[in-house]
Amino acid sequence: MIEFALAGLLIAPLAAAILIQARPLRDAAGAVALVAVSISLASALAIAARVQDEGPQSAFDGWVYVDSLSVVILVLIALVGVCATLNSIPYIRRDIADGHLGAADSPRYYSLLMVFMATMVVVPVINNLGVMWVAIEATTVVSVLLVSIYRTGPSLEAAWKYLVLGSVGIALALFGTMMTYYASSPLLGDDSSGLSWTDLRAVASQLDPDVMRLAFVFVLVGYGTKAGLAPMHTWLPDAHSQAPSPVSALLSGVLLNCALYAVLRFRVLTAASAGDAYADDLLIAFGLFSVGLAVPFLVVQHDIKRMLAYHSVEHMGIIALAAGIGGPVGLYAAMLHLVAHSLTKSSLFMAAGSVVQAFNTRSMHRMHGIAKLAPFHGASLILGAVALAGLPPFAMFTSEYGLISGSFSAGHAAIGVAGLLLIALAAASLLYHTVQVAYGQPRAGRSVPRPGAAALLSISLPLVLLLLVSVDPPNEFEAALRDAATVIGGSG
Amino acid sequence: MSDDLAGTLINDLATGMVILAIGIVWSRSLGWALLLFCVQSLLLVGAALCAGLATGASHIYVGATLTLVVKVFAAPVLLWLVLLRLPTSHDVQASIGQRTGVILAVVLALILGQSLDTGPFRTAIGADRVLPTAVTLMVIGLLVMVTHRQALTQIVGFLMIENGMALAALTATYGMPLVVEMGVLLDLLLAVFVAFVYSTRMHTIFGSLDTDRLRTLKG
Repeated sequence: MIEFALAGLLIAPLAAAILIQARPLRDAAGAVALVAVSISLASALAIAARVQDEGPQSAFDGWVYVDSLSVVILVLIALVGVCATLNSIPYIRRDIADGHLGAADSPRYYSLLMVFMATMVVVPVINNLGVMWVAIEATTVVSVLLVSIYRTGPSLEAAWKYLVLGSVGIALALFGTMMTYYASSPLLGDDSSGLSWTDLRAVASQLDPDVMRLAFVFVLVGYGTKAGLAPMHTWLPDAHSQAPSPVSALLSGVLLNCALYAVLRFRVLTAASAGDAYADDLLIAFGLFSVGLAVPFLVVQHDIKRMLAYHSVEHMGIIALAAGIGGPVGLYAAMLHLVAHSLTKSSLFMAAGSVVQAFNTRSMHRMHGIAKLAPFHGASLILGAVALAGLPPFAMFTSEYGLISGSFSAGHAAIGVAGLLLIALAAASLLYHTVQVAYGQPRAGRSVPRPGAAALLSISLPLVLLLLVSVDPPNEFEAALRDAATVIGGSG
Repeated sequence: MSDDLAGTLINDLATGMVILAIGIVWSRSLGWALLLFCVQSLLLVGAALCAGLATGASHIYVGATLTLVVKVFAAPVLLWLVLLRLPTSHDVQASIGQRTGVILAVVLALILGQSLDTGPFRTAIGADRVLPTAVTLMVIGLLVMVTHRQALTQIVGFLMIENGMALAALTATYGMPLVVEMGVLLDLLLAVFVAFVYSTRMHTIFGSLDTDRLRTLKG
């Protein structure tokens, strides 16, 4: 039964990618893609329900392993995938109307988008750490083509940096994966099960701690590059700002999670082999550095999409920091923050995308007065910014509070205070910029068309869900996050 | 083949790969750099064959064949095609002088080769010097990437890093599991293909393959 859901998850977007290229379906590419991602979402939810009821699931001879951690990542990918595909329909139509894209680019875009979705959904469900690496590198190769879809100088520059830095960075993660395989081969033998996460976890305490320490450094720097952790983040603001906005929503909202997910899987093995402190100190260091480095770029930023991109660096840092502080509170905070960031940031990127299209600029100075000109976009930008700034009642308030209280109880008070100060600075600058954009004096002669149903639904759905899990989280949601936190903690 | 003989041969082939890497740092024309890279990949295939003969593990032969197809033929040929199609200079566009580059690479090779102990690693076959050699290859690859402005030369540097990694995997664990190795090579080929597409586009937009043109996005 779970095999069906897993197959649907992967085959629906792949089939759509091919179908879209068939001549009769080219004009309906967006609709075909939307059907495919909806099937993926239904499959993801079915898998989630199964894991919730019966615990972790294995399938296909142990090649697939799904536990609560996988489920959280997977459902987010599928959900944001549906929103981004829905949002693409008006977005791409407008780009074609404005002459930024040709008519032939539409099927190409949707096919790439579907292959991108297919590569992402593999990451959280595959049990083999080597194949997981292959899937993550595949996400890079596919998503660079989406970043460069406009064929302009800046988008090519962004794509080139992303391709080169992403590939080199992730090559280091492969080196770390290889070392893990080396550490396991005396225990598990030299066949392909050597990189199966479940097998590795079973023998994790016997893995050579020296090798695992070295492996984790390479894995963290490698996948950390892909997750946008500073100082390896330099490609991220370029790629996320140059991509079409629905793609930015996916890159920032869920692709970063995939890379962080990989780090967390390795964290479990390293902690069991070499002790918790080693892996956690590294996570704290990179996390705090990412938050700190993002702040000055946030304050002086005037490009709205680059600002959101630097907030991704900041929030990935916060998640790494919370995971490093650890303990039940810290790990739960990390998972909650991850979910809240995905929902908030994808909605913000899509809302910002519509505004950028309407004003034909990304400069925030030139888009003042949004609240008056485009009430819906203004409201969603303000709500999103309030959520991202960690103000109550939104979930990021809870997760950031958890981060601080977790750091105090774990004896990392200084780190907690430093983190809090930096987070507050970033939040203040975000709110300042948002107020300027929303309530500043509008320039004469600007008008923003009323959003259609697709834009309305895709931008507001993540925010509505965020509000739901913030104010009155369903029991299933809290249980899933708790279980996921237990998995990262190493006892799940 | 006995383990000892295989170990000695692999050590020698690995040393040969480092010498070729220094050759790539030295070369001023992309054609030469690509050719040297082909030979370096060929030595990697040779090392894999030695490991295969010593252990009799059939998956090593499959991996070696795929490496031959992807790293000796497909990837360099794709990059060579860019040079053939575009009316662009074949200069590697190094940011540092020829002599400085080679001295830097040799010093790196000596320091890394001598100072890096095998650490916690004991290689499966008697090729004990290989891990330091593999790291040396990766560092020289990185050196090529950061000291060259030409887009294709940077890709050659990336491929050299990959070769170093493959060598490390080969000697530490007889390579990765076959399905992983196949996936890694497929990804590599796709990445080189995307680089192929981009370099053509770069030439159309900027009129050259100089990555110094890619400096407009800041802050």
